[in-house]
Amino acid sequence: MNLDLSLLQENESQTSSIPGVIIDGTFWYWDGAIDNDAITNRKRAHRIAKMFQWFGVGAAGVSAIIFVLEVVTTYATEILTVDFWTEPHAALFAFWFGVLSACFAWYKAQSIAGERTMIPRAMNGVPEQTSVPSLSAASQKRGIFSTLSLDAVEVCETAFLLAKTTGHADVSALHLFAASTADRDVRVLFARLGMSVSAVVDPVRRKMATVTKGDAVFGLSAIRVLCNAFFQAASNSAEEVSGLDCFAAAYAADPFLQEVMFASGADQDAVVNALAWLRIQDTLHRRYLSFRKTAGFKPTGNMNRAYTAVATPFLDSVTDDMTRSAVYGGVEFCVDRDAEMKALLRSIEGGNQSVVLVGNPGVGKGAIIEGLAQLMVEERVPNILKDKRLLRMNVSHIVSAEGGNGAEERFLYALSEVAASGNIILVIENIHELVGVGGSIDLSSILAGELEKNYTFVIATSTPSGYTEKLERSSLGPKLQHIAIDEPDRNLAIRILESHIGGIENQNNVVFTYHAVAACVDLAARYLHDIVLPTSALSVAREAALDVGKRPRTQGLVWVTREDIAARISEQSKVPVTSISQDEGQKLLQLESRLHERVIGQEAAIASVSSALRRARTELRSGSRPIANFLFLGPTGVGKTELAKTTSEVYFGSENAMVRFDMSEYQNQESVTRLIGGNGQAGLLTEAIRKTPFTLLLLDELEKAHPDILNLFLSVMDDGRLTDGLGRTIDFTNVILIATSNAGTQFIQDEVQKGTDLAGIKSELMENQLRQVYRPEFLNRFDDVIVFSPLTQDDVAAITYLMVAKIEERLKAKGLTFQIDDDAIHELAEQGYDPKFGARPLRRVLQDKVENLIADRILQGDVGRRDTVVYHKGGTITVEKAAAL
Amino acid sequence: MVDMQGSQGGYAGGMLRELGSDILRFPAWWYGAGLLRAATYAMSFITGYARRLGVGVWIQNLFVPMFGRYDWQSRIISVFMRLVNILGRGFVTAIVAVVVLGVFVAYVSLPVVSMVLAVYHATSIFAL
Repeated sequence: MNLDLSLLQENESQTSSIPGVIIDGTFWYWDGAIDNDAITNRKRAHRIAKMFQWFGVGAAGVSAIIFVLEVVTTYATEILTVDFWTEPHAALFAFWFGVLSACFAWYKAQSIAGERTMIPRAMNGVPEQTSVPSLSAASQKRGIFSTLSLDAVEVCETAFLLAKTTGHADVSALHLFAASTADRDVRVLFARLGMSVSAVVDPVRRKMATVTKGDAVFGLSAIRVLCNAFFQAASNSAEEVSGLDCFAAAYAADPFLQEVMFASGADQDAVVNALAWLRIQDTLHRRYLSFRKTAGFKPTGNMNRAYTAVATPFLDSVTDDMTRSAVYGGVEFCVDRDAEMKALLRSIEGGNQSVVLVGNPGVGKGAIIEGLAQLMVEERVPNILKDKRLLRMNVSHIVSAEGGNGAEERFLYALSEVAASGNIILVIENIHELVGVGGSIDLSSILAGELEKNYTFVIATSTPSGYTEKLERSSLGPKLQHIAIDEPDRNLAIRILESHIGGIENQNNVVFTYHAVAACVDLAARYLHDIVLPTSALSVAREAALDVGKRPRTQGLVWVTREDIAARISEQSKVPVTSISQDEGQKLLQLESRLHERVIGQEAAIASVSSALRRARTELRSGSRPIANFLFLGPTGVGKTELAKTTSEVYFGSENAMVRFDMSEYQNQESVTRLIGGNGQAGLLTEAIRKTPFTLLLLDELEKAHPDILNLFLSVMDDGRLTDGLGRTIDFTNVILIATSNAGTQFIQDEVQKGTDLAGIKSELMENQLRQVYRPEFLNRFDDVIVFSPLTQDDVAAITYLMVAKIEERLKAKGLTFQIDDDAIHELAEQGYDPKFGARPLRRVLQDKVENLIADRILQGDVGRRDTVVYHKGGTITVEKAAAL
Repeated sequence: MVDMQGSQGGYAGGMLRELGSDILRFPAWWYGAGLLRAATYAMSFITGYARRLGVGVWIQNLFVPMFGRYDWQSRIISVFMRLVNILGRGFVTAIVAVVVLGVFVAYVSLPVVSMVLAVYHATSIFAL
């Protein structure tokens, strides 16, 4: 599909020229008449022609009835005699008049249908939009009007009448656009885009109020739009110009219309892809009809049409017949893989060469081979593939039988059947798995030896890692021509998905919006990394359709929306991607106060973390880096780890939802393997993030890690991914990375005591102090290096309140009430304050002075359920017994 | 159909023009575009049937041994079997071709025959 805006704009300057389209040297130009008289005459002529057609049908019917009645009542006994048919009488007049009328009705029906001309397929090159100074300049020319479908003619006429009734001088793209919105296919397009027609038509009508007034003329601007509609239909190999083509051309012609659609939620990509969707459905239907017509010629058994093949009983037991499966409709049509298919056929045709399609799992290697099977069924393949069977070999059936013994013999026997039959092309998926398999002789070497004999060739698939690590270095590698199958880009993946959506919709009795289809591709590409596009998007679409299809139905159609896809992705990846609810929005806006419920002071750190989380949830962050990379600096006990835990609790639901590594345990070089894996083992870090990609990664005491580990995190912080020891790429883009470090602690404490402000301390740390521990490029990867200031006495008092509240909660769970007054809390805070260790001594003080005393009293049996434990200043505890029941 | 772009008359005029046009165009279409279409359809039906029976493939492979047996006895039997098949399949194709040709001839003659016979039998109405 091609909305070529530049060509339209280029033509603007050529007002005197005649716009048109060149197909194989013939200039197609606008030859229709759209004015009052032409519209009236066309409609009248069409009605009259239809009337004549029905007159013919009616006359034939009446004549048949008269003939039958005459025969039954008068000539029942004579009808089988020769005299009846030779002698003149009224019954036979009715009979022959009826036959003549039927012939006339047939002619009339064909004549009405035949008024439309089919758009020819471009055989040499592609259709081109152009213009000529005058029609005489074109040696071969034909008119476009007869290629317009009745719907497209209706659009043109409605556009003219709209301009006429509103008193506009010129029929423009605006009128054609407004007229086309009544077209059935355009209505479907709007429904797929989740838009209401009125939301678009109202602004268009307002815009029309500014159009120049005058007598309506179907002039050059409308003709240009229709030439573009014809161009689009021809480019898409359509048989006629449809109402949808008129809509697409009008949309492409006027930036205002693009703006209107954009405002309603459909950008240009969305409109183009949704248009392609409707056309793909039409194309697939036509392809299906043509396929069914030719599939009947393909034998589905062992034998080829020439009867030269032999029975292949063993091969049949270890293979699937892909051509037979294609004949029976067992494979889906392969869409938009023309380049790969051409490369495949070229390689095969070029030199009887075996090929290997190399691509990541899910990229569509299987679909391309299934597409080849369909072409073989239709015999639209080079001679070398004609009258052949495509058999997919299941290597595991050969290798695993009889406990793995005799794999070589079985493999050779299967290949000998291929040689004997002469009509078999083998497909071997994941062919790298043959390398190193077998007993004394490698199966890949056996296959390489057989391929050298040139009696057959194979079509194989492999993964990039399988190819480079195993196949390329084996004796089989050079025998196979490498064809790379790349992951489709976004738009191609959407179109491939669109070609499969019809089947998914039918199976689950649901309907997809375009935005749901696009979300399948966008979100799968972003959050599902085990399989690539388009398979990842397809599986999401299937699962979402299954979920939605099970919902109770309140109306006829159940729509699968973007939110349904997002919910499916969220469930699968554990990453929240659904729209932000009002409640969640409020929570995000109040993040600072929620973090402050557990972390005292440290305003700058809390503000930085809160902003990063808000950016992440509103999708404003970069999608190719972690959500945020923070380095927390400061003395021990000031709340660095506590803030990380609180963030995990507030944002990820639990403080245990984070992945925590104490980097002091990873001080030597071997630690790299422990973190990212290797030698067949998964890494601790990579496996944890692979399983929970949406998490907080806390790296405690980062300065103690081995320098090679810091290098690993350079790639994580920059690209948001890391390749593990098994060759898998692990996605870190949904991770909040927080590293804590005690580097520069003494400096911070000294400077705080001197009264230097935090900004000054940070600047000195970044420029001098930290450079002794971390490389500058490593420090630059952090979004923010946050200096935690040492705690003051007041901060510790506030922390004491929080910790006492926790003791209160624990006692409440045992049925006890805990009371403590402010003086006692301040006394505990004073005892627990140490400028060097922050709030850490406080925990010990609360354990010694409060928790131990209460524990003793509980063990002594002084405290029962419903009693109140009171802690007094000076470190004493009293128990107030509850009133007896 | 009548000229759609220049006609100014009402329905009655339009119908008269349509009638006049059809009197000329009916036979012209039947023995022009219609005949071509019928001939193409008949040809594609016969060739499609022949293709389904694989007559061409059997002729092409007349001397290619059947079932992958390359010994001389099998070659002789194969040629014989292929000849039998070619004759049998050719005969069926010929029968189909004759039937289709009959339908085609019926198509060609139908308007003329029905017109002539309708006129002929119309005389009986006047005789009454």
